Amino acid sequence: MKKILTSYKSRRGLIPLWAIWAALTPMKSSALDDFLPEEKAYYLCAGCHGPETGSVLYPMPHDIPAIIGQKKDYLLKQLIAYRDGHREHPNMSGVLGNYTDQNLADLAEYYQNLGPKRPERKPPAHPIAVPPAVAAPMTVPHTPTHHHKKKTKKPIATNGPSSTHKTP
Amino acid sequence: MAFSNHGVLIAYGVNQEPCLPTLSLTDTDRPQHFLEETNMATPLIVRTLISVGVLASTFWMQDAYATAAFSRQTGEPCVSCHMQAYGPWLTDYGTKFKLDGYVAGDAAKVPTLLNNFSAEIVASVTNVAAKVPSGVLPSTNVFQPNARTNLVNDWDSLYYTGRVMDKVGAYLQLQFNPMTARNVMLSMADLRYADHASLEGKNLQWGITANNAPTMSDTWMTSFAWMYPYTTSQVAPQPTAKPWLQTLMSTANTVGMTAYTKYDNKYYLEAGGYTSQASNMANGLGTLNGAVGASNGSSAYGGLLVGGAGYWRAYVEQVLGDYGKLMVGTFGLAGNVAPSYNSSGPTNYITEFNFDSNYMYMLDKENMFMVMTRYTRDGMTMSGSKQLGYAANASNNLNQIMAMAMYTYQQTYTLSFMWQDTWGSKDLCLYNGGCAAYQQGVGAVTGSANGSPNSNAFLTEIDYVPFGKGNFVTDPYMNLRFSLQYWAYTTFNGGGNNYDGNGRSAAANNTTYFVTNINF
Repeated sequence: MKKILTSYKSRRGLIPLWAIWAALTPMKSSALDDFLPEEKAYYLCAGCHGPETGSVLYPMPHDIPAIIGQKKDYLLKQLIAYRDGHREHPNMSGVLGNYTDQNLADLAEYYQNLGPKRPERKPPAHPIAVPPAVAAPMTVPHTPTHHHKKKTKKPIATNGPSSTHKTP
Repeated sequence: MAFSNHGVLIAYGVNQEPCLPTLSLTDTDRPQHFLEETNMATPLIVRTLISVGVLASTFWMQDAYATAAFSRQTGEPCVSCHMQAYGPWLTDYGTKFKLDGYVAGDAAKVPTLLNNFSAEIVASVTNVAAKVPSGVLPSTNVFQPNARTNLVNDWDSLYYTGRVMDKVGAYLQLQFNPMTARNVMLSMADLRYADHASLEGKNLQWGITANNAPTMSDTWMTSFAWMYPYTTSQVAPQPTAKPWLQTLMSTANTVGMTAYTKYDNKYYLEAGGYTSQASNMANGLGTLNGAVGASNGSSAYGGLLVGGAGYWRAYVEQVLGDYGKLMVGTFGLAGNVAPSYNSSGPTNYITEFNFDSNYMYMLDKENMFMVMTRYTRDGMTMSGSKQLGYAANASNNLNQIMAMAMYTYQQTYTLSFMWQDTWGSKDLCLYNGGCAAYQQGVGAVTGSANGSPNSNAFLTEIDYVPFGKGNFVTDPYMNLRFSLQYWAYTTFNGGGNNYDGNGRSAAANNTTYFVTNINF
């Protein structure tokens, strides 16, 4: 043991990296346990969805759903759908696997409270048809108020409301 | 050059740097700073930071990328953080991830104790236009110096990357290089604490990083730690004269700390200092006990950083239109250098300024363009080198300009072009391994008959990254990249024809390089 501990001084020996690893590993803790919802949102969501995000070039800047101020119930359903694999997106499908319903509810509530409340809308006369592949219920009707000036060449992979459909 | 186990400085043609005269250094005539022992009575936190910084010091820094461990931590495919689905080109999200200290993500796709670990294997085939004589390049049992074509295992790496604590993250690369030293070294290290705040409604990121080389903390491919091209052949000749920071990155036996902040995702400022590793640190990390560690002293004007060298980095990002972003910035280092670890004379003083820019444009999800440029200016006051016989002039300068354009399709196929021009003052000693070596004759391939550092190169590269987009079973556990490069030289070490006085032309060093990177 003494030899190992003093190998730091040896001419050829590496600093015992296993010791560094052993020292670092116990310090590792889960952000799930320690972080407040706003901290979870900052590290998990804000890089693409904001708040306080600059222009995000990837994914396409106008393809990123605007979730600030979105209703909690709607957000929660989408988040659960992503977590449980009922809804898929390359950037979303893998990130929520370890989140509980309560974790996701906290996130949804945080984003709901972050922005201006959305006006109550009457249900559409004809219910929106949900594609079979999108198992996640999209019960919140959403009417676009304006469109961005450029068309994307391909349909947006996500199915939720996007920043192209901002609500005042 | 390398320190043997007996403390003898061995002439060693590593990294195509000129070999200096063989010197014999004993424990008593080594520079005092070099002999400095790590004080074990130093507070734990200081020792930890130093150790981590030292861990970072190794070679071929520019050869490392993001890791599968990051992807497993975040649960996202490589393409979330990297354009082209493989590092080092960072997306905005990837930049935020790094500046936040590598801590984001709770996916934990594998058990916690293992999640931070990943590995990389790199293998390649190199074809040089004309044979390289024996002894010029590093030799192994695989590499055949007299063959034009060689199949080699460039390097193998073990990474420890990702969140260590809630706001502390690490990027450590332990590397085995069968082409040169055949020992294990910690080639890259970046341990950072990061936090954030809101200022006037805008995001303010800030952090402190302990790392092993200037630009290791950077986020742009114009910096030397992450410079384009991603990988270069170790069994092909490369121009002798290189910018100072590139030399420090490739040898990685420095240690430093910097503080950084980024406001509103636009304005970035970083400052700090670096110094050379103490001998025990370098020994412990393997950077002295092989060709690479001591190669810091074998570069044209490298050596031991005496005292602290100041480092700066600043840039501004601006969104242009709906799909474009422009970055303009500067970075550099200034400090005293004891040439070739020899502090018996006066020191050199080197200042390097870099000015860089990057413009990226996303036409749509499948078509991306990027251009970037860098201008480098080294001002070298070489009092020490002149007195000790490593340089003929008391002052020299070196300039380099790099311009690159890249097109990426479907984050899978990439075509890129680069032009790199290097020029500066002539010095027959500096670029021929010292005055004593020059008097014995200009070295074949690596020497310069007229003492000029001038080189002019064109690079064409094609990359194919089949995975990393989140649409294959390998995500987020493995990624793969194939690259094909062709280097064409019109000027090499000061000339186009017979530049080394041994009849070799610049075009003789034209190189075709096919390399495979696999990270898992």
